[in-house]
Amino acid sequence: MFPHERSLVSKLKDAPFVLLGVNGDEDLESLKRMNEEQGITWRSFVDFHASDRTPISERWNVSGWPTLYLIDANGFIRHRWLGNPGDEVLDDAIERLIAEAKETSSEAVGD
Amino acid sequence: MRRFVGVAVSFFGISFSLVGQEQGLEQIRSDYHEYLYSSYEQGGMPEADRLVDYIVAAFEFADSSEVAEQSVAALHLVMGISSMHILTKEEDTLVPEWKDAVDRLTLEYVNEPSLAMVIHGIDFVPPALEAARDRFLEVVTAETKNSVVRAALCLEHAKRIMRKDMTGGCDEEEEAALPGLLERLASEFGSNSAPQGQGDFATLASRMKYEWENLRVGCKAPDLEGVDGDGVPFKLSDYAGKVIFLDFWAHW
Repeated sequence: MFPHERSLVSKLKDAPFVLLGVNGDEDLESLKRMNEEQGITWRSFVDFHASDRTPISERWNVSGWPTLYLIDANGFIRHRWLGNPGDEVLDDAIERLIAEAKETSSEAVGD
Repeated sequence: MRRFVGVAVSFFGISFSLVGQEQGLEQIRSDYHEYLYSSYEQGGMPEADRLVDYIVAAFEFADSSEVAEQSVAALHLVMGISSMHILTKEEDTLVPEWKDAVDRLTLEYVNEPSLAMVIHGIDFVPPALEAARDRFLEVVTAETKNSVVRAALCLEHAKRIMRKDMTGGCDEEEEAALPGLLERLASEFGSNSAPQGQGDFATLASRMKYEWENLRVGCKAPDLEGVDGDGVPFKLSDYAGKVIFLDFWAHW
């Protein structure tokens, strides 16, 4: 999944798009090592168990990894997948939402 | 060795000790696993003919065991062996064996608490088994009087609807049924322990309710806040106005 995500991030660096992670590793070192080894430049919420909070994955009832959410520019959940749906499905959905976001923002400018 | 144990169990029947019976089933299970690993190691696939031997031994064990829980475990093993084979070979060779095990469970063990483990274990089955699986769940739902089994049925029913909803395939009737199922999970079975160390059913039901009410397609995404790997705090809402691809990941 990482190589495709890396290419998405670089391809869409000028688009109204951001990739964010929720990292379920049980320690910070794993996250840092993975970021380093896999060339992960995007941000991830650190999500391991700690006494002062409930992990995001628990609140969001995540039952398998990866679980993916696609949220549109207005903050609405538009897609979610348990497991990787494949590059094509993912790219297609992302492109549609970016096109939608650009359309809305150009309309706003037009007003 | 495996054959010997199988024969011993059925031969001594009633007088055979519980310890001996457990060893009998464990022996079949470990022989099966050993065969599985050795065939993978040799780069091949397990052969149906060999798998049938383990299935026959497990059936014999189920018939001869005097302990219902052990019989259910043996039939569960038959289901595991056959569905694994159907899945990897993508052929229907062992479908009758799977159905046979399920028939025996519905005939004799609908009120046995350990049937809950079987119910939790068949959320994913190969397509060739889906219709039989659904029928099995229907029959058990109609007939069981055991609360542990009913709790398992209720949870798996709710999970099935939520999973279908995630892939866009849940119909109106299922959508309408879900809140009632979650309510039942919490009120009727709340203090039962949920499978796979997920706490009790009440906790699990409240998480599922949160997901259903806040995280379905079309919902406004709840805000998230936390820290990144460098300890810098940030929020989901920091990125408002952008398309957000949120990836729950881990290195494993």
